[in-house]
Amino acid sequence: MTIRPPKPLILLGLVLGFLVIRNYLNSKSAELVSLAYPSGWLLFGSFLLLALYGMRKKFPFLPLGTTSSWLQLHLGVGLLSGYLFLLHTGSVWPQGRFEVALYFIYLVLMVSGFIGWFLMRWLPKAMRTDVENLHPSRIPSRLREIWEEGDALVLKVEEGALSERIIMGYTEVIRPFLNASPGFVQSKRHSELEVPTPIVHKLAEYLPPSVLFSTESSRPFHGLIREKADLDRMVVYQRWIRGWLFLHVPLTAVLFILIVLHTILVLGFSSGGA
Amino acid sequence: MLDEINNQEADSREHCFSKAPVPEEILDWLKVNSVLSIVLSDYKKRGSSFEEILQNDARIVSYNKSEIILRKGDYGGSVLIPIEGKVRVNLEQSQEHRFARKKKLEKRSWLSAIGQLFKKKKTQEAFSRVVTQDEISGSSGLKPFIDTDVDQFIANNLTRTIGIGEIFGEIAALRRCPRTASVFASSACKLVEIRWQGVRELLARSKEFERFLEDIIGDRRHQIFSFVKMIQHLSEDVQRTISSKAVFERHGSDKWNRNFRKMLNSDQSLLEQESVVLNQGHHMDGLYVVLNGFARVTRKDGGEESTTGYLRPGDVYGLKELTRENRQGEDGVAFHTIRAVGALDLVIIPKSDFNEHVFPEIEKGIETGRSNEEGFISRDLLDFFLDRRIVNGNQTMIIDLNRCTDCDDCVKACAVTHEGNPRFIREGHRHAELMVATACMHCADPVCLVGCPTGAIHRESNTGNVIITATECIGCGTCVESCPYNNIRSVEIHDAYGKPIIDLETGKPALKATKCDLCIDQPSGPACANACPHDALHRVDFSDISKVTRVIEKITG
Repeated sequence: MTIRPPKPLILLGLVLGFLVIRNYLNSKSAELVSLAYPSGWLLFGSFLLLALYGMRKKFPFLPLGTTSSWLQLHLGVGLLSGYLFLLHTGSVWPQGRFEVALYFIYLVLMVSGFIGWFLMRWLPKAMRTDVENLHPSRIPSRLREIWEEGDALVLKVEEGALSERIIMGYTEVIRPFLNASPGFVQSKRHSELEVPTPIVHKLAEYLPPSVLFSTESSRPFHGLIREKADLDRMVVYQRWIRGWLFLHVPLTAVLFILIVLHTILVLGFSSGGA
Repeated sequence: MLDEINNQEADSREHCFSKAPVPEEILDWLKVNSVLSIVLSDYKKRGSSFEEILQNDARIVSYNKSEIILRKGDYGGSVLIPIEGKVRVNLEQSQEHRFARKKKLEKRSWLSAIGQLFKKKKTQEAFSRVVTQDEISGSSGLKPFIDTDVDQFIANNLTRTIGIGEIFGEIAALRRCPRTASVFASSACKLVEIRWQGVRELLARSKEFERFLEDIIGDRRHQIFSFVKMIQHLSEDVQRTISSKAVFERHGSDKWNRNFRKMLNSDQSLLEQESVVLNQGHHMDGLYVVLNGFARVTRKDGGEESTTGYLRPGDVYGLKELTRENRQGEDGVAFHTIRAVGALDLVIIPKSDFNEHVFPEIEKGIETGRSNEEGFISRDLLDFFLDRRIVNGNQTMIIDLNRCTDCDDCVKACAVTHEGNPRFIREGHRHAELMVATACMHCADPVCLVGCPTGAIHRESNTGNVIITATECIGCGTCVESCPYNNIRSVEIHDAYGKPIIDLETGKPALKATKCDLCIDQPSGPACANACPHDALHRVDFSDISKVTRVIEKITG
């Protein structure tokens, strides 16, 4: 994890913002005014401010402060909106379907945001520990090369007592693994052999991997499997690092529509009541 | 009809310094009455003639009374020879503010910048209009002038006349350093301006002229001191005294970039390939001041020699040793070995002059510049920066790999501001958790400038940034070849309709050199650094050690 303290000005602004909001809501509370409206409008304002971060990213050529400062602000306002959300809802799970949807999407959005932030701070370092010098864009071609190297290697396996089992192990376990998509979760690794544990188990049906990887002709397979596993890990991390945005960004749009509807409904009913 | 003939003539001079040829009578005059007569005394006829060189690389420029011809501190790539009128050089440092730039570089308005997002281009690097030569050279506008009465200025301040036929501007043009003095027109005047490409052509053909220019540079060398922090506060008389006794040395090769990649791949260690300027333990004969180029500072401890720092233009070495000698009376010996990294111009101020003029200022506690001799970043990292000549950078793009998520927002931002063609590659040399991206570093010693036949690649006069004027680039690829860092690319260009422009001579698509321009016309400055949401992308000026240290500390934690 590489976490740096927030920029002092942003931190100061957020703390001041929090104090001002708390003071304002306290004063409203003292006046026996329901907090639902002021906290709702403030929550709506914070949502707009959060959405501004996406807009800022579209204009990197404007001197509006660095995008990294905006991200810090985005995170801070996200926390502040959590406080307002709890005040607005009274920390109670709602009853109606519409409110449940609103509540649920807001929670998912907030949690996905902080998970995204965590992934972006944790994964870059983890991604660079093994396959250091390979640019992510070159991973697919390297994976193809590994597959081809495997096919070339198996042709070179010399006739012998173990050759048939090595070839079977390759065609039934190693080759499909070298050609498989890594999915979204990385496999657990065998502590000694440093290859995915499911591979070790599957290979054991043909030849114990410890024996397989110790023979002269099949030792290179070990290297290929390890490299593929490393690259798979990078691909999985990349999918995580981008994948959370597929949740966060569309949900923002959905929540925005729901908030507008919610506001219209509330205002409509309140004016009707008046 | 006359217009047509003029247009044809202008087209034929497309790659010349000036659209209008230098009149024959002026060429004849120059051969007899100017310093260029020296060239003809031993001119070796090889390829272009004297006249052809001047027709290609010279132009006539006119100035009105009080207009500024050269401004101290600006970067420039040409020499000038007055042929008419009066030209004077300002010798009063205190009056330099009179020559200061009043108008800042024009940037796009916010509206125009936002407009880039909506400008749908069918193709990258498409030219929608022709930029006129006047727009390129800026000659359509008013020239800057001194903000006071010029006659009074001359009467009240120390200035010197530059005679008709004399040459000036040679230090900046040939040493790739900033202008060392401000020059202005004290009456309406005309000058012949020769760009440095032409001067080099002449130098290559005349040994006499080469010697003459070297002598002039030697005579005016005290002006170089005005950029050395430790010396610049001393009076000009003292600077002259020091420079008259100082020893000027050149180490390494001027064309270091040509064999740089070979050096990196060589079996021989880089240390062995760099020429030694001063050996550790040797007697210190004076204070070493770097004028141009770079030096590696190493120290041998227990038999192993390791890099402890580097020196860039304006840096000094030996301060510690000489101060210790003065204070403690011990014989000063060098604590480190100094090696030239590429080409190195330095001046050695003799010990006696140091003791007489510089040391008293140190005793007074006057800030005498900095010396980055030791331990601000790890030795490994120093080696990495020096071995790959990254210390040359004034705007090196360094990426913190522990924070970069490969989101490519920096590349996208660059593409938005450059008509869909990003000007850098987010890949490059890596060292532990940092990577030096393949982006123009706007070098202190921009070797890419050498050999550009049209002068399209040049240093921006006020910022020192290295810029390519697209309309002047002929796509020859010389700069692409010269850049030792692979930071310049040739790209195919297209017309406003998206069709590739074909070179009629070769039948192949026309090319242009492109590279990072630091978003010079954008309101924000470099869009890449602005766009990084993770604070992973840094632009680092290696001349500012404190900033380098801050960035490295930020990255390495």
